[in-house]
Amino acid sequence: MKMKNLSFSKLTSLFIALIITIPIFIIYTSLLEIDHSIWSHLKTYVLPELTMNTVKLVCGVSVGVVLLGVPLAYLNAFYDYPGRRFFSFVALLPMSIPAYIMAFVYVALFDATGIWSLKLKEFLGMKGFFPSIRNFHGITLVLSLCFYPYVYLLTKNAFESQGARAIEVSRVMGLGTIKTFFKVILPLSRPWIFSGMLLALMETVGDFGAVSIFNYTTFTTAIYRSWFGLFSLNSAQQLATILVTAIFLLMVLEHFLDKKKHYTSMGRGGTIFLRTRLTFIPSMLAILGSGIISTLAFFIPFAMIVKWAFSVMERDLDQRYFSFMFNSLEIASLTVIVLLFFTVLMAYAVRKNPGLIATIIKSVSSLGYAVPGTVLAVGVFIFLSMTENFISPGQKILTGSILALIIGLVIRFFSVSLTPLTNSFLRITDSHFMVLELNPNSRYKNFIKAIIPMVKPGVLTASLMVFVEVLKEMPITLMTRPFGKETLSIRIFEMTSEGEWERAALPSLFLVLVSLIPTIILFIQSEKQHDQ
Amino acid sequence: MKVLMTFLFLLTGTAFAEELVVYSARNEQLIKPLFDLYKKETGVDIKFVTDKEGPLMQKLKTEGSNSPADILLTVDAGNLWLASHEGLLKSVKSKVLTKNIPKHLRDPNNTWFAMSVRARTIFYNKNKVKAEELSTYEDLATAKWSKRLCLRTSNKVYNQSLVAMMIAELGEKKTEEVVAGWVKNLATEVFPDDTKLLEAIDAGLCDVGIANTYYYGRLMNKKPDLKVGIFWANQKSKGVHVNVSGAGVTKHTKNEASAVKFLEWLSSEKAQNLLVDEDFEYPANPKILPSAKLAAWGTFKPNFINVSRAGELQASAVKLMDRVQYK
Repeated sequence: MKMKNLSFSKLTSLFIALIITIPIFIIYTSLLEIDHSIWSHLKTYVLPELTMNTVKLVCGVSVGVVLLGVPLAYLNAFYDYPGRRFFSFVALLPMSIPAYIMAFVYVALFDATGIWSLKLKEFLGMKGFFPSIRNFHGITLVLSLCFYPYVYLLTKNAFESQGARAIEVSRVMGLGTIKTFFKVILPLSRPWIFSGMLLALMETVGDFGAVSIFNYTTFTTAIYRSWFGLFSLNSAQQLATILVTAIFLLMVLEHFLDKKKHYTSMGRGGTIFLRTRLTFIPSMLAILGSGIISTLAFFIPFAMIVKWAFSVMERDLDQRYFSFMFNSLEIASLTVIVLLFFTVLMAYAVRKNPGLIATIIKSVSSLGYAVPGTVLAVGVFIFLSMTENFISPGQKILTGSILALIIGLVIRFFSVSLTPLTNSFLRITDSHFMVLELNPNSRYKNFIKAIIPMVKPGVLTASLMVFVEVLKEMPITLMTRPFGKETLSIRIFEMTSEGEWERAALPSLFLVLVSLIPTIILFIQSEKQHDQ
Repeated sequence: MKVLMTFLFLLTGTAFAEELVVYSARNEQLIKPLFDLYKKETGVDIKFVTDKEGPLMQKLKTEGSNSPADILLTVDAGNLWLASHEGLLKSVKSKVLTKNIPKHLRDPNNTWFAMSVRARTIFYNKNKVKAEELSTYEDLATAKWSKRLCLRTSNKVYNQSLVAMMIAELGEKKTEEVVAGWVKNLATEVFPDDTKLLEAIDAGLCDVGIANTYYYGRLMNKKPDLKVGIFWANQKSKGVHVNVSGAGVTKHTKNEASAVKFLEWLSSEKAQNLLVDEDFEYPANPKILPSAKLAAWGTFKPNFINVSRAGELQASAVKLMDRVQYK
């Protein structure tokens, strides 16, 4: 019985890793046929600069998301101050604004001829123009603001689940607040912070929309330029394999760098520490810091979205928006359910059998998120067609169905779901797993009754992140959706593809509103968990 | 049993209603009104999906003979050329289409036909530049425009087509000099879209720039007091660079006759009027007059080189732009 149980989660993990690998493998088959004239051109004129740009951007955004996400998580996990609930809720919201929309808002407001720049220029009576923000600094700031919620959410989970004892011990040993933070709290949260950073990093390298708005060229720019400009999908895929391989190696490298590997909770039977109340001046600083970040990352872009949405509402808003919202909700919910099932099993298998092989399986399954969206969409579509041809040649039983779309999205967002879950499983001690083994007859019941509640923060975080990601997703939804299955993100695509950004604000507004549903659920649940 | 029969009847009923499937890289809001009108007139139901050109063509290719698509509708001649080149489209014989669509706006083998024409020309800040100072795209590379020119990113296919057509006309060496001159003359970083570029001209950040006319039309609608003027480029030489949106019948269609009929209808007066009224584009059928708004910008001589050349030379154009660091 014990063997059987183990092999179920192991087999499922292997199976899902295999399925996810096929589209990626299809992308790798492009390496069989290399167009030397294109490659010599790329090597001479394109890649040196773009590789540097990409490395710079990845470093910049990684630092940015950690600098924003970790202190915010620390503040909201360990301290109480007036407005804490509000700020810890608002800190999640930037996730629901697609990166390219945020980028567009920033350029529209603050670029040399931006709305606010011109007003300020007039006010100051300036002759010349403000400098352009469309450069490395601008894009780094915007992407950091977009992606820090991953780090924030995951790190907050880490802080809240590491238990009170570690901190008590550190206090007893006479370590001060700062030393406790760097010597105890941070090291105990390493996998969380790294994995949040990794998600942000994968989003960054795969981004095309936001970087183009900022006129910043990266590796992904070269990928799309080779495909759409040089008409060479093959070269584009080859470039993508470099990106994917680099990310895979980074994940494996972290496996070797992370010597500790034991992160089980040091709480006392689930008791959670109480938040320390901040005194007046630290409270003011906390409010100021949270206020600035939430203004930049959410309130400014949201205000612009609302403003633009209202300006086009009369022309564009009709009853179809009900079906756009319904379709978005349906697709996102289905994806969350399917993903949770598979990722819980894989996270469990990885926790039970840690080691290099587990890391490799975990990393391979995560790669869907590292491939630029449209390139992955092609891989997914070829995979779906092949499957369909294999099962029943000549009939479209899979492509064009909602199942195909869900499979595509599962492949894309596997890591987004797996990351918080593997993190949560890290906190479970081995003795807890014995519950499962003690009573083999009701193992599944025990799994659901004993283990799932312990990884609940991970489940909630995974659901929220996947839900919001699916809402924003375009390339796979575009390529695999059934006829007439139009979603909010497709609406955004229709408007932005011909540069009608203001009109894209209306579906964006709905997207933010729909995202509020899971965000509120997660927020209430996590507050409840803490208060228990 | 009765319910089942009705259900079956309904199923087969819908299967037999005449239906066409369109894969479109043109936005929903620009095509839907046409499809609705066609259905009203003929009863033919048009199902469609939108996506970017690249993935759409890849989808067609992957589906092969299994594809439900009858028509590929896309923007930019380069993409139409590629679709034809990759064997995704079918050569069709239609007297109506060859009559309605001029030779330079359709594929030499009649695999695709332009439906609307988009002109890419020069725009200038009326306070800083006099129209007499302007002449050609090539002239924008001369020293007098130093730090005064604005361009959109070379990632956009419209610029790739423009440069490709310049290669067709001037040869690669001369074109490279011109594009290098443009890059040297840039007033600021290249822009992500034409609207942002026109706004920068309006604000005076740059004096001249190159953009598609329909972006100008849309912006004028929003800001009627725009300080931006339109200038028809290269009127004394080959004419204004034009690009197209167009459509072709897919290779594996099972409804060729019906698909051709739809394309013919698209080239007809009624559809052409609707097509160009939706946006500020020019009709591909020369017998149809552009809308009144467009007429106010004056008439121009378009470049008559076959637009499919833009596709043939696009890769060369992109490489050329890489060489001169046009981002």
